[in-house]
Amino acid sequence: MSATAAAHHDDHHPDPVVPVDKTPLGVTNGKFAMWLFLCQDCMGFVGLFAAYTALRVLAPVWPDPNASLGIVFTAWMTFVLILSSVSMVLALDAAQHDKKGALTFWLGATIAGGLFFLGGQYYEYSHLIHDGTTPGIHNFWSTFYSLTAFHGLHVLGGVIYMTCVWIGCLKGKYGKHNASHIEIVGLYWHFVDLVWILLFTFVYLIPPTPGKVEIAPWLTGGNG
Amino acid sequence: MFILYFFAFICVALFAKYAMAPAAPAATAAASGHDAHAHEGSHRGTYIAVAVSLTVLTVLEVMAVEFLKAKSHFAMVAVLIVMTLVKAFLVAAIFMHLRFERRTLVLIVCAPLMFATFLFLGLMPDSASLWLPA
Repeated sequence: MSATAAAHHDDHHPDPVVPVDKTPLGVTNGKFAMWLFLCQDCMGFVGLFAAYTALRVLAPVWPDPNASLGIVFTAWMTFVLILSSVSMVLALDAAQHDKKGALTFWLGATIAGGLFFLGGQYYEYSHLIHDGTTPGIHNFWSTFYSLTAFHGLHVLGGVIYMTCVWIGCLKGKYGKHNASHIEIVGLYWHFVDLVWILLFTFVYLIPPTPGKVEIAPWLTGGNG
Repeated sequence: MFILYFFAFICVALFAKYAMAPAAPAATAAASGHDAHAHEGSHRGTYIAVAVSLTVLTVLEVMAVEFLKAKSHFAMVAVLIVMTLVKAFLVAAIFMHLRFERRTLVLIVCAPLMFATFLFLGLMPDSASLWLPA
């Protein structure tokens, strides 16, 4: 990883050469790059959300998500993701105060939270697919799977990214001098959390207007 | 139940607002030997407060679906959307430190919101055609 190599090289020099306070935006190049990446990644999610909204509004009737999806189970997954975001900021706080042990612990906790979330999503998917509710049977399911799977892949990517940084932590590469590297991985992770917060409300919680609820065929034992 | 619910929501909102106030202890913690990061200090208390707010708001969201569904669909959807936006705002402002960044950076990273609005508006005619007279 070139990022860790650069971090290692920077041990005796301020990172970057121009003091951060003197840059136009007051952030390191890496942090600005992550923000730009998040901007374009955000548009990817916006595309899927817009397609979902258009399809849902266009449909004369729509199934009630509360009848087909496990709301309480998903609320627990949301809770775990929020907790992992907190452990991420605590990891950053530890890095900024040069507490390497605490940094390794909190980043490890964040990875554990991400893995728990992925496990929960695997459990949810396997049950839904076992019940015959596959992406192909209804726009409700195709939009549901594309949104949650796109988000799930981001969680997977985040877990891999954080594991790479965590291995660096185990080797003692991260501390006060390069805490911005922890902040950058944190930005990515909080973005994934933020998207889930929106997704949980708009996909899982909001039911259709009372007169426009579709009696889902997969609930009545019909087609599906 | 209804009144209790909104009371809880207002409490959380006030709590979040209090949590976001610039923490005075952070400045003193910074002064006691962390000169290199004097402007950052420690936001640990703020982080915990935001985490509690996010958790409580999530619980309130699930409760809203349970309790407001029979009362008023519009009120439920409005409450859900407001609480979700508050949560998203808290994550972006505190966890992602946008509250502590320069305004130029905040404006740059908010650009997708504008494009998102264009995309949603652009798709509206397709959706609205359903209710237009043929």
